[in-house]
Amino acid sequence: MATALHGHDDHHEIHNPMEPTRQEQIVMNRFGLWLFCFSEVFLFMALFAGRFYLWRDPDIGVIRPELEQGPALLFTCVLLVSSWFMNRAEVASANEDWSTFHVSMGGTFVLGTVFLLGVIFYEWGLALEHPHILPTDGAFGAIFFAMTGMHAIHVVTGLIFVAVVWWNGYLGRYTREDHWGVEACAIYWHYVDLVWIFFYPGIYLIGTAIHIPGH
Amino acid sequence: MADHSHTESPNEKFETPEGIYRRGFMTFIALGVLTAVEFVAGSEDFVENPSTVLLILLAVAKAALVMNVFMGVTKLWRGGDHH
Repeated sequence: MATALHGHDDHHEIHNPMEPTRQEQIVMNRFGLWLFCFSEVFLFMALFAGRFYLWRDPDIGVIRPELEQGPALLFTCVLLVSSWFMNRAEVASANEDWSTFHVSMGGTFVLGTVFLLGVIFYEWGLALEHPHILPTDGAFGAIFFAMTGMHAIHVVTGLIFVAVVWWNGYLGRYTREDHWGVEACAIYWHYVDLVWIFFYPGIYLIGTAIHIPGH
Repeated sequence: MADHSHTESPNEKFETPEGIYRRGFMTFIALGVLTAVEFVAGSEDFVENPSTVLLILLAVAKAALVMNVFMGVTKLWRGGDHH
């Protein structure tokens, strides 16, 4: 992990043939990170499948609580732009374009923070106020807060990852040849985006909207 | 001797940084368009009963783009670095 975060600066050391080369290490690191992401798919798939099981009416079919769709679209676009910034940061690190790297990492961090605060304060606030669903209010509240909450936790860890990699880039710990830390951060951040690609329609678009009366 | 820390992929030498940036931008635009289509297909203002299959297919298409271009899933079997 330390290597992933700090990059690698001993290219000129004599290579021990019994140890994997840096390139072989990166291949294994990449495979391990993808395995981690794959294992998390089961967690998110369980929540996604639970949504279809619990948000279902015997007469209507697939349903969902009546939530504001506009703000959710806005925050989805914010996360999408942050993913593009992350992609630019990764390409920039691979080409030692450090000014673009810093601007792009900053953009990713700021937009990721906007998304996180938007979901927690705005989306949760709307859900608590307008349809008035609480986490304890049965299937609607449980699924809504579990899906958005679990995703938000991953956004928090992603933001920490982005901040650490951004700082390491500032310290000059990545090179054109070795920027695995940036690549790992990008894979994780895009994975967080990937989860939202399914959660956004799952929560806000799929199914017939059901009006929930206030308490 | 070549540096072991970096293996050049077959396509890498043909891709300029500008080309890779452009590919990322075009992917971002495509994701934006698909998100707009998704919103129209699932919005209460446009559709009374949105098609679950259509919305899932749109999400799968977006996920495929992200995995292929942004996450570089092909590096798993191709190795190297396409950036």
